[in-house]
Amino acid sequence: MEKGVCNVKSRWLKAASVAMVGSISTFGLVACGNGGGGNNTGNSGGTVEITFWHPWTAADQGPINAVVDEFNKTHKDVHVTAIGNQNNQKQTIALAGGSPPDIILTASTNIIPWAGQGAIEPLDSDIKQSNFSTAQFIPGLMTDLEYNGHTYALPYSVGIESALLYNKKDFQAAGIKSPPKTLNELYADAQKLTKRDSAGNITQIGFMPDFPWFDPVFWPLVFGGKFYDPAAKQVTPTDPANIQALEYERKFYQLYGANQMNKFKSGFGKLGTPNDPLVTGQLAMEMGWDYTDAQYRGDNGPIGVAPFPYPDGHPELAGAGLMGSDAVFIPAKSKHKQAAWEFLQWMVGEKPQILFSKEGNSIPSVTAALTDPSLVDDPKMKVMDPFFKMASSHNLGAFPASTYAAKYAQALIDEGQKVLLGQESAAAAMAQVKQQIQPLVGQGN
Amino acid sequence: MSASTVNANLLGIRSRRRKALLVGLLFASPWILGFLIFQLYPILISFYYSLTDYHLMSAPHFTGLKNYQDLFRDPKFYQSLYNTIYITIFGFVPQLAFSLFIALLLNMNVKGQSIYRTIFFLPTIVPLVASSLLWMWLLNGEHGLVNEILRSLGMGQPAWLADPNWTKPALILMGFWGTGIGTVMYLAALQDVPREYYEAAAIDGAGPWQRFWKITFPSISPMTLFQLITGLIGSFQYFTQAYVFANDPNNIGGPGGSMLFYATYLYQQAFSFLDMGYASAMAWVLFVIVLVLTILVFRTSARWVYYGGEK
Repeated sequence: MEKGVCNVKSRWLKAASVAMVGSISTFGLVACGNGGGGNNTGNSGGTVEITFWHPWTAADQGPINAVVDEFNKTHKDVHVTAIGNQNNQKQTIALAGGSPPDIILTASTNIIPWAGQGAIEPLDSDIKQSNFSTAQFIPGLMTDLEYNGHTYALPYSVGIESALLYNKKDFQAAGIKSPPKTLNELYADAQKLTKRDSAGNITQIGFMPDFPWFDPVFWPLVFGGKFYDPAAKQVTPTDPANIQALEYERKFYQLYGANQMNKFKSGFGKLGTPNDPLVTGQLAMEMGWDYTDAQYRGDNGPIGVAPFPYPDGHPELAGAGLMGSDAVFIPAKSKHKQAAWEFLQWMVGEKPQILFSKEGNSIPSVTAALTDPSLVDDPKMKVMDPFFKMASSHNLGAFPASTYAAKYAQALIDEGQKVLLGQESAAAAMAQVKQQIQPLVGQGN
Repeated sequence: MSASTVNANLLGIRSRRRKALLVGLLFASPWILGFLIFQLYPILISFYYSLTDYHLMSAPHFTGLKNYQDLFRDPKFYQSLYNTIYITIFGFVPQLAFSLFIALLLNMNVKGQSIYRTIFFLPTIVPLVASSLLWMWLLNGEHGLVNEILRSLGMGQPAWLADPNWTKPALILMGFWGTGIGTVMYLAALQDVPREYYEAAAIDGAGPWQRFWKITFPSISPMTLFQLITGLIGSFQYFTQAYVFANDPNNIGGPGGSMLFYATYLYQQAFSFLDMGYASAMAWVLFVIVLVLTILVFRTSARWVYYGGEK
């Protein structure tokens, strides 16, 4: 009898375990199905299918789709499928999960941290074999993309923050004829452009040093500051220019009062819309990127563009500002590296980049394109014209890319804000950053 | 009855029991597997990761106690801990008292009692993100309803979400709105207090104040203990409201880091910096802190918690 029960039991168990193993292996199959997805897009009649990820959402992906279409039209051996809305998070997960697409467009600041983790394929041998030259790009763009002597990505459309945008009507009303050229003039004009009601509340503000956001990189660059000393292998947040920059920003907080200013700011409308404070004139001047309020610039628009002012007595620093680019790279686990390189090499070329720039009002990363008549003489591109000129300034810089850059930038933001609020002196705050970040240098962190 | 039949019966019972156990386990297996794979394994592996340098894309690299050493030297660790303790003492504790106060009011025998009860519970139904977004409008420094009211009363109007001195009070203010669950639980406990106690106390001449402290409070003390412990744990995981209020993934701590709570800082380490080793170490330190606090609360509870039928 006991034996019989045991048999029943073992049959039960067997059935159960088969069911369980079955369901687990189904999960396994599902997982394999996902992972192997790339294989379905393999060779079909001599054409290699590759997948290209970019972060632009449906509303903004017109320009990149035009470029991909152009490539597919002119190339028979490789066919590219572009997938948009693949933001930082999705890219990170795909790279960590080991099933990335063949080629990815991302922010240039991601390249070195990801390369440091071995997730990116170096381009050195491709560059050599194709006789490709990275000297064609705007100087400075490659620094974010090279690490330990290897090239990991190529720069795509460029972003530049080196303009002073201003509301033309506010200037007229205050009797200001031309935009300020130096930082002292900026400070003086900001006072003229500020209005308060009888109760002392701000109703129009001249300039806010941390609007649209607190920028820990732009301001030091304006003052000629440095973030890293490669010879000494030291981070240099305490560079005198960095401290001057914070002290200058602090002056506006003292002028307006932090609470007054922040309260006024909380009433601002959405950026880039007709309620944008610079468009309405609530804010008279703003530091600007090439894309900031583009549709409101130009001869007939309410917003004027000027180079950002330089520190008094330092005309050699004119044209300083922040430059960054999108970067295109091939993941180490890409399944079609050769085909991906063919597309990459083509898309960063002058003609495709001009196509992209014209479709999307952006700045190409190839120096020659900045003066190419087909781009700069296009009447549609007139609002971009000042920025094509600014892009060749030698004073544009970037935050040095490193594996610890995100922590470094965050520390600069956290401590810098304390300075603006008057909780800490600029020197003490930057010493604090140095103390926090220096241990991370050379640690592979 | 012979010995052998007894033996056979026993065997029958035992094997039937064993079969029932196996069937039961089988039915519970989806949960058991889920627990093992999605909870126990991550919990255990996170302890290993806390001893490594791990940035997701390459294999973890063993570094011993380095993450813990760095953590105890990290000023932002202490800042986030300070903010978390602040919101616990000045937010959670008064909110607990508030929910008891409301429960006492709702327990009074008045007309329309169930309507009032519904009204006080309603805000709890709104998802936390939605109510946080709503409160961002109410607390807007320039045009917010709260400041409009303060203005009409001739009082100062703080820049609630922009001024580092006011962000935590803003969060606490919003917290009072969401005390519905605590109120309902207290209400249930209040209805369990035997009426005879109050009658006896009334005969002995005890006033309302004495009745509350001598009868009500001790009678519902197990509920207070329960809410205190679950609330403490919840408070140390304070995240959603602060993340929504800061409204900027690049500045997750809000103005001057005034809303950098322990959980938001952990999130920043894990998902902004991808420093999973450090974040895992933070998670384990949080576990130890909450464990110690819970033990402390339990230890002191002997002095102020009374269970029915015990002294």
